[in-house]
Amino acid sequence: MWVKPQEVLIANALWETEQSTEYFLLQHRKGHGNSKGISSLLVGTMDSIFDTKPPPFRILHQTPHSEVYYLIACSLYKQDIVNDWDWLNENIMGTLKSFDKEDDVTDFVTCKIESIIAAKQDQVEIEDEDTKDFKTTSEKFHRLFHFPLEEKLVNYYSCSYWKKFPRQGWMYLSLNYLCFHSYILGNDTKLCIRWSEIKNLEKSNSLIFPDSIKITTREGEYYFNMFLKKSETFALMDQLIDLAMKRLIDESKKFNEDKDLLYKLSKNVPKKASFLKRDLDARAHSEAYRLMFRLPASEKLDGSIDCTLLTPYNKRHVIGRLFLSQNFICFESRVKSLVSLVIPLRDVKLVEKTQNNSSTMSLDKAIIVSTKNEVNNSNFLFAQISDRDFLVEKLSELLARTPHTSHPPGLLRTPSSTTKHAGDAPLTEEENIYKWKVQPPLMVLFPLSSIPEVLKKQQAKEKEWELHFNEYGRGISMYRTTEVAQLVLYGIPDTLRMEIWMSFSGAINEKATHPGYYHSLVDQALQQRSTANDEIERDLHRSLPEHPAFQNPIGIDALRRILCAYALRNPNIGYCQAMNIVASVLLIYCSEEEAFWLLAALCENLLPDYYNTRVVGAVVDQGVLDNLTREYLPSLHTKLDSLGMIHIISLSWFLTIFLSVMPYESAVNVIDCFFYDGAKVIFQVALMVLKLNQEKLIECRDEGEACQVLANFLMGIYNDEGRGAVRNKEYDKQKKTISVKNLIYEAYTEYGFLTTGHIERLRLKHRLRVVQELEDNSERNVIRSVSGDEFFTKEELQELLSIIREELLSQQRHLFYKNESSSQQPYEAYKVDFEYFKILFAALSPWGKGDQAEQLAARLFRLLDAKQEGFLNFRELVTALGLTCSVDPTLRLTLLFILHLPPLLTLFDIQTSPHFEIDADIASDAAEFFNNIEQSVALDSLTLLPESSSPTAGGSVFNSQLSVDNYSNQKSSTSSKDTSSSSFEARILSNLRNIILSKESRCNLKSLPKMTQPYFIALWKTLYDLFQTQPFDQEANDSITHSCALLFKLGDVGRQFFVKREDSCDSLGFESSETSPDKNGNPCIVGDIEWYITVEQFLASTLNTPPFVDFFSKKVTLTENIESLKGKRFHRFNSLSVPAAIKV
Amino acid sequence: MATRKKVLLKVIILGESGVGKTSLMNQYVNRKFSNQYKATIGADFLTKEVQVDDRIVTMQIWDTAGQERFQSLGVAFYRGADCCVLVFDVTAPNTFKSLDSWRDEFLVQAAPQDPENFPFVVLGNKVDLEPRAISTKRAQQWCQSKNNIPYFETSAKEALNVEQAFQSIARNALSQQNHTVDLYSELPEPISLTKTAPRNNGDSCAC
Repeated sequence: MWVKPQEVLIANALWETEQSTEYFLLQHRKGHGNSKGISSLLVGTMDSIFDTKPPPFRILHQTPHSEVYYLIACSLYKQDIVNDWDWLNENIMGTLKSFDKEDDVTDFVTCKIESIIAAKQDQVEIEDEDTKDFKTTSEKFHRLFHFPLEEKLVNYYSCSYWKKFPRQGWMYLSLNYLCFHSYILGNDTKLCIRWSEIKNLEKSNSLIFPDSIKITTREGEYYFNMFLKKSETFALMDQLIDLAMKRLIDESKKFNEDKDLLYKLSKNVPKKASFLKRDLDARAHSEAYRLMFRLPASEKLDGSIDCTLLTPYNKRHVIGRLFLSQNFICFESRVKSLVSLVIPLRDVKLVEKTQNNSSTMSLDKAIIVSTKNEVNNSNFLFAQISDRDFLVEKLSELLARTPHTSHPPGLLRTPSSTTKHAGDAPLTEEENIYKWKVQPPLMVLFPLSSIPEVLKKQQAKEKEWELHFNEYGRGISMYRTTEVAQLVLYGIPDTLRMEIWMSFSGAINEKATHPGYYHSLVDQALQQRSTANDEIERDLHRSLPEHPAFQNPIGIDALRRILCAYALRNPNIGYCQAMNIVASVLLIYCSEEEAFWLLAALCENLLPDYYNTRVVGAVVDQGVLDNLTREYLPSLHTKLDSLGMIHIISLSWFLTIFLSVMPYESAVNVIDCFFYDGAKVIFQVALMVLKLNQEKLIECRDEGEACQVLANFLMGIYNDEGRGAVRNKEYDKQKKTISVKNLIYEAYTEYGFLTTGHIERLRLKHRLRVVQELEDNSERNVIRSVSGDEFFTKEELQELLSIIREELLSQQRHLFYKNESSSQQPYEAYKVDFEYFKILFAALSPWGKGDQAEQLAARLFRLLDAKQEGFLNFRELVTALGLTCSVDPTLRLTLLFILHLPPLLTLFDIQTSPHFEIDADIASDAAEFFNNIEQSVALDSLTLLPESSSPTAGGSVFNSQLSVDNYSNQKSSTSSKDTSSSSFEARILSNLRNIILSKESRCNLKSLPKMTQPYFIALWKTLYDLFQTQPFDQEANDSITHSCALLFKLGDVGRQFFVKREDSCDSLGFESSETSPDKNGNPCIVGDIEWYITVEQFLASTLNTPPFVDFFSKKVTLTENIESLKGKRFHRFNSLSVPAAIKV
Repeated sequence: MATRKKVLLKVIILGESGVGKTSLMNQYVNRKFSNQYKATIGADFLTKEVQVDDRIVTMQIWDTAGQERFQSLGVAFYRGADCCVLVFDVTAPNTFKSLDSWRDEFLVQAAPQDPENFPFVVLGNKVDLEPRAISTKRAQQWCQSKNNIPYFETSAKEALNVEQAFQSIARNALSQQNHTVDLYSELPEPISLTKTAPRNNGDSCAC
């Protein structure tokens, strides 16, 4: 690769020259390749520690009378550099000779090289995601750890790893692994930890390991310290672990590089770090940004800039920061929560620069953004934007890409107008059989009689909000100040809930950008049958039964629609109980489509992973609550911990946001705050509830009592401003405890300091723990469900499972249960394909060692793959290995017999098997072997192997001998294309499978088909092959030969016997025997009587042969073999990768 | 044992969603049936004083969430359980088939001392409804195969057999308690109140 010529002062310090001409030098770095010697050792160490490591090959330009050298090309591979070298010799050398002055030569060379680079650069520019330095390191990383190229390096840091003594080296962070390498004076240390194996990550500061990062895995603890950028490293590790965990929770969250970043119109972004690192950084920023302003998940932060915002309500210029992403302009004041602002670009009508006015500094470099939406038209003035032109350019570019939704004037979303809308509008999708229309808020259709003074209070509140709107604006782009927070805290009036929930939760953005989505989703969902829909149906009447709206089809139907639609939208969740309760309350205050989008915002952004198939999010938050209680209510925590309370109470608190534990008209006030402030509100309220009951709880003697205390308290929370909710008698009996307004107020006073960031950090920590526990748990379940088969011990199974898990993880396959898991057994989550089975079989089974192992493995795989899907689940895998490793010899031999029966083994296989044709050595061996048999037994009348007199022709023996059979076999195989025969095959397979798996296999042996000669020969070859892997033993060999001969004879006897039995024979009974030409699936020409043996004969003979008995009754334990397989795994990577270059 | 007046029995009700766990509990404790229950989230519980052979015991009945995804989260509720009630809906075959997994999951998570003899009771609920999908015989066979679990056919709606079933549950739970009292006291588990400690014994039990 050509590089921009640069001066090199000392040409030979760390380099060795390989070739040289008058003007050029080809060098390689000392310490590279195989050269030994102290200097190369030192260079290696130096390169490793300082990471100066340049590419190991380079070309220098020199002139005979100058001391200055120019580096003009470098490369990682010798081939590349040699190519460049040759090119130089062919194209340049001639020209150079014609120059007179050396300076001219140098000028020419530099110019030439630069022009080559320039020409190339045009094409390369955009691909160049990473800097060269980084690419070099990345190559080194792959070489060191033998990772495939897909394993992308994110960043690398200098640090030291403590193991007895500190080892200075480099930590490499890739998407899936944390790796460490140090190389000090020939002492190589490598460490490789998968992120998803990490159980805990923390900064620790003990005496022995000062200021270090501690990583805990299932295997042990690792300490790293002496970081140059510790917090950056830690943050990146955190992020990578979190990605790994999220991937474990939800397969769909695969990591995709964000190529958009490449095209990002960016300014002054230093291109130091790796592309991935920048990507991850951008991701983290975007996530924080989305969280802060409740923006849709697809929103990516583009940039931010300091400026001021004119706040008209107090006529001030507030200093803060403006954020820009594809669809939003947001602003946040520097003083926390003073004011923030979200402006969707879809609402923006105009962006103008103001005239620069030098007299008022505050209006310098300002822009005005004018918006127009359903509820409001407003102008926002941002000033003192240092880089205004760039911002405006950027904005106009984004605006050009934004589709503007036009708002018909009459469609103002006030509650009264939505009623009208639903009442009269003929909806767009007409003649659907599932005809339906969106419902307005159910409280409008089912008004509850309410007490006059409550009504007054509501009206007073509405008035307050109206005033607020006038001053601060309305809708999504209102100035969000502490004033509005105050108003929310006191409870939003019923009539405004929908509007305000929609704005603050960000659901309004999703709704605005997906017109018609809900309708089509519902249409699709209702026509489907699915488990989720069944579960929903069962719960419709168990959601908010006390409300009249849900005693009526109108409410029930609306609830069904939003739940089914959501289940269809998000199959990772489907339907989770508790969503019905939340959704029904949303429906009371919001019209249907709004309720749907609120539910989506809640499930996807506010309460991440709460409702998925393992309720991970809620369990994580239980941990967070536990943590917070320990921190802020320590004495109570001790008590609750001893009662196991946190886990008992919090599930329903979290999953229903208190809706199922408080009277719902009180809990909606919590929801008001929740939509405004996010999940932290739940924790604030939960902590407050605990605190208020602290004394009583400490007195409790058991968890029942404690639950009672809390239940009484929670059910007694009242809302004297709520529109008189339906209370059944139960509620009336309940003693009032505290008004929800007070509860929330106190929760904010007491625990208002909790921030979303704090909660997120805690969530991250607990997510790690919860996911690992779930993993452990599911592994235990798998082991438990399989250990009943008694092939291996639990420890062996554990080992086996762990390597499979490792393999699956490295293939990025998903382990967790799928949605349709209702009937799924735990072991079905772990599946191996044939490729991996082959490896396992070879490594673990005593049958996996010979030359025929692969064919044997294939047949065994086919036999046990009950679903014929190309995978063995864990149980099937254990059976496969167990049958060859641990069962009694009879069963093992029976299995071997079965594996050589059609349709598992076909004549076609026998014939085309490379083993029979290509491998001449073995073939001749075999032929010799059979020859011996022939001689020793003196098979008189019948020439079983007619052409086998010459041993060298052994390879063709079977060919010619079987040609007749083969003919017919091929015929049958062409006809077997039709489905009937393939299902027939499947039936035979399942019969065979049942025979080998049934407990009373001995009784079933009779139903096994008998074996004809070619198959028997194949079987015998396999046996022979198996024994080849054993240490040679003449005696054993003889007895095997003898046994074989005996069986040949027996088969021959059978041939005569067969005639007599022919008519009555049905012990061999495959039910389908009539439809099949022969029990073996081979066409059998009537009259031509076959040679055959039965499994009983086979067993009787082999079980009388001591070497067989020894071999097949040897119990093989997996543990050792698995150990060695683990070692091999590394080799496997090894063999794929380029030869290690840095080794000395 | 004779000196103790009151005993607390902890009973866990398990089974698929919608088989009537909440209804059964309420029918037994409050003697009424309502079709206005919400789906149980997490767990819920009621207590009732019962007399079993001259002894007054307090039965603490825990009603749990039935949806499959909550199955593995039961561990918090299971600890110290004295009896486990498995409920299925006689009109819905799936609810019967899942009994196995509920039972297994319970045994794993609650990890009782003697899993073979831990008292279960099976209730086939909704016998007032037609058509039946699970015959009495089939249910009984299953129960027999699991170490002779007592089986009752109930209707929470008609209050059919509910009283008898819970009497048997109380009896079984009590026998379990008498049986394992010594075993439990050896456990490092800090709480023992739910098993044996008399209520008037202050909070010595809690930790």
